[in-house]
Amino acid sequence: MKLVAALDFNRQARITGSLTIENVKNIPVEFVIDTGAVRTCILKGHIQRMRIKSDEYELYNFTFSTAIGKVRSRSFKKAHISLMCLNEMGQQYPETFSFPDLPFIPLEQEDKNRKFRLQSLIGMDLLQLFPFWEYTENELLLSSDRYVH
Amino acid sequence: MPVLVKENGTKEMALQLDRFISDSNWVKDNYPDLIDKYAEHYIAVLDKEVIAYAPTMEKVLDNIDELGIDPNLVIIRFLTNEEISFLL
Repeated sequence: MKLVAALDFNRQARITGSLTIENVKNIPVEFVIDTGAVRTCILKGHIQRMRIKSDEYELYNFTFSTAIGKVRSRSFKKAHISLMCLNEMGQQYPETFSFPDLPFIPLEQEDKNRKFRLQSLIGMDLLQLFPFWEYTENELLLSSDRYVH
Repeated sequence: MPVLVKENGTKEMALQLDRFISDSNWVKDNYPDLIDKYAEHYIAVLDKEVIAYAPTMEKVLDNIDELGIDPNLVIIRFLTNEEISFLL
């Protein structure tokens, strides 16, 4: 299984997928690959974009480690992220990853500027399923197995 | 830790993801032109076309509603000249 992340103009690797949280199904979400994030997480802009009123959901408060220390977060229970994958034959197919809990994080700068970033983060919890990485000119390929080219 | 759901996605899911990726890549490929036109605005993209733009998320969502389009089918991006970095 292989994921393909597009490298944008500033070389950030992005993957577009869809997010399902309870009754809000298959919302397009753009993720940035972030090896500094222990957990895959949704940033506040996407919550606003999905018109989710977080107080209507069963949420859990917890803290987890990031590159700059611990971050306080709240978490949705039972979320799904679907991503387009490639099989060994190079054929595309969607895979769905189920998260027992999925944190969302309000960034202080977003609140200050009232400009909500619309990239969420794919962290090491998901990236560890794809341990083999390869850069091309425009893409970052993440594989679950070492492929023979 | 996430768990891979064993059943492969449906054909409908594949088509939907394919469209999201296509629109997202269109934004990436046309970023210089889009930033010239829509800097510091949210844009909504559907089928490789900007269907709405506004300085706030609430407004762009309202504009999509007024067009009678399901906002869940649309890619929304905030275009800024500021360099964005993540410190998580």
